[in-house]
Amino acid sequence: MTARPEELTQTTPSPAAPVAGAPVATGVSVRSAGLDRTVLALAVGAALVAPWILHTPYWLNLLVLICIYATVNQSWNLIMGFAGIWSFGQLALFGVGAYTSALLTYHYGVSPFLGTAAGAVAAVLASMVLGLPSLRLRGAYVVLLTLAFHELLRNLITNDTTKWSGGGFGLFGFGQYGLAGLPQTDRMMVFYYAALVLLVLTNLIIWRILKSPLGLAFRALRDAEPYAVARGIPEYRFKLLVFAISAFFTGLAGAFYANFLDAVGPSIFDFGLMMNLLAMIVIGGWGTFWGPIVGTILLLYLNEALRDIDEWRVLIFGLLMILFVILLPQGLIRPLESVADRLGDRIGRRGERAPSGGTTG
Amino acid sequence: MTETILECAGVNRYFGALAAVNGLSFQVERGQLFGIAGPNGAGKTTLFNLLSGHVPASSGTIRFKGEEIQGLPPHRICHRGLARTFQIPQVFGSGTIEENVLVGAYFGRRERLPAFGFDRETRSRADRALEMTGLGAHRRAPAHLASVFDKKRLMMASALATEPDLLMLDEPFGGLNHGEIDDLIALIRRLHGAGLTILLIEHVMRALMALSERVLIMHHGEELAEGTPDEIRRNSHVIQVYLGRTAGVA
Repeated sequence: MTARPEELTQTTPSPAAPVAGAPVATGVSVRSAGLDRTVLALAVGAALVAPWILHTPYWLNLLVLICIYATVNQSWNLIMGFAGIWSFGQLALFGVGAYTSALLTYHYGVSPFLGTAAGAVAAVLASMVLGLPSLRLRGAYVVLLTLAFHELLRNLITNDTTKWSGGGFGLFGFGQYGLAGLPQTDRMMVFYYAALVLLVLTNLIIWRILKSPLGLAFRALRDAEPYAVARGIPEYRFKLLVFAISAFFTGLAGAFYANFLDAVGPSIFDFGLMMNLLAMIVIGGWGTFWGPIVGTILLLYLNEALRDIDEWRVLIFGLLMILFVILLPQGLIRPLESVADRLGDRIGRRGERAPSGGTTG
Repeated sequence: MTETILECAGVNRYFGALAAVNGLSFQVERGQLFGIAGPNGAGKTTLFNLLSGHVPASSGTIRFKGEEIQGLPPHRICHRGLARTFQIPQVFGSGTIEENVLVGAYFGRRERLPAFGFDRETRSRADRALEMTGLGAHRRAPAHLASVFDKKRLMMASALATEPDLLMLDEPFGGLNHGEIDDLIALIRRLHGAGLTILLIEHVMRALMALSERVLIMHHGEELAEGTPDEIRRNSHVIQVYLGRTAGVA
């Protein structure tokens, strides 16, 4: 309800100097809507065509994972990059979604579709457990609290000896949304387009939120909290709201992931995976809209391309993340955007129409 | 004839053993321009934080438009019509000048669940605030690049966009040059002339004395003196503690 007094007496915290590595991005792009629409059309076109070019189970599997993790990363980016809440409970919420749908379908024969919806709802409820105690905390303390939640869930499941949750072995054979009978490639195609719908819907809704008064309020709270509440923004309510929105899509993605793999286990809480997701957001550009998507595609691709060097990949991603934090804290997306802007300007100057989706099929 | 808009009675705030604000009582009438001054550490900003709800009072009552507001969270106090600025310029750095003002215009009036866009009424409130403060031409500029003067005017604009009954300005003149001080004095006069009640904390005595109808001098969290600018100038306590001999007759 109130800020700690020492923050507010004579030395009101200065928002002007951004914390090193914190998102200083302007958030929603101020570039021409025309260029945005062109980029969007190209991206969606490419996403629709991709599975017909990369038409093997191996590549399709990667494409599905890209859609799932990009959904999780964009949701994480919403709460951490745009709303400035340092929540590290994202993977835990992903796990809540996955386990909820798996348990309901495995034990109680609930329809996998209903189970998937329940996964999203359960993640929202869990995010309230996570969000409420976070409200009075700041910065690193939110990190600690949310990480503790993550570890708690991981330990509960790993040490579950009743076999109800599957314990350390996990649960298998509950998912696939009834598609198990299809030939592998066809099944993967269906999963890919379903994952693409998940990704596009999530991103459309988050984009709309960022452009709306609510998105402005999230950024205002991030930029200068005492100032934001002095202009009438109900801090606690909106912070819980961003927890809930972010958790909804993350839980949905988690449930979809469990059904896609047809398996769920405590490896879903793997710390290395969390670091990889973080690297995707940081390298892509957190606090930017396109950054997490670009970062996810790039790192998941690299992860496959460098499969031969195995464990060295973790080291490489770690080094990449350090390099980006130091040299390009705004991520890859800024330089990419300025190239796109220059291209857009040139095209605009020649008075030509920007190329549209082209071979979209 | 006159109506009391803000009334503090025996307001205290302790930080540990330190009484930052100690038994303070004063009243502000509607339409008044009320100035508060005092040495560094006198408790002026703490008083503002108590009034705006950023820091809860340890004891005492704060009545705004007849209702007690101590204990309300800051956003509700804003909704009731009390808007403040900050001593150290605050901006929503990721937004444009216009977006900064839209925050006040949209959220500053009442509790609301955000819609998908900004309604026309919100936009026209923001436009009026931008015009009043002379920022209309810069609306598309990124706020974090604004000068200190523009950031201070921007804080006022976002406060005005909430259409407050009482505007509280925390050292608006600090860090400004002479020309900017004159411009800001003119702006505050215009706002006051239009009927707005203003509570002003200020170190720049030239501006404070020129603007205020009543002045409260704080020292060690307590009231040292209260009166018209002329009475304050002649008050021997104030001269001794705060103004100094030369400033006292200036």
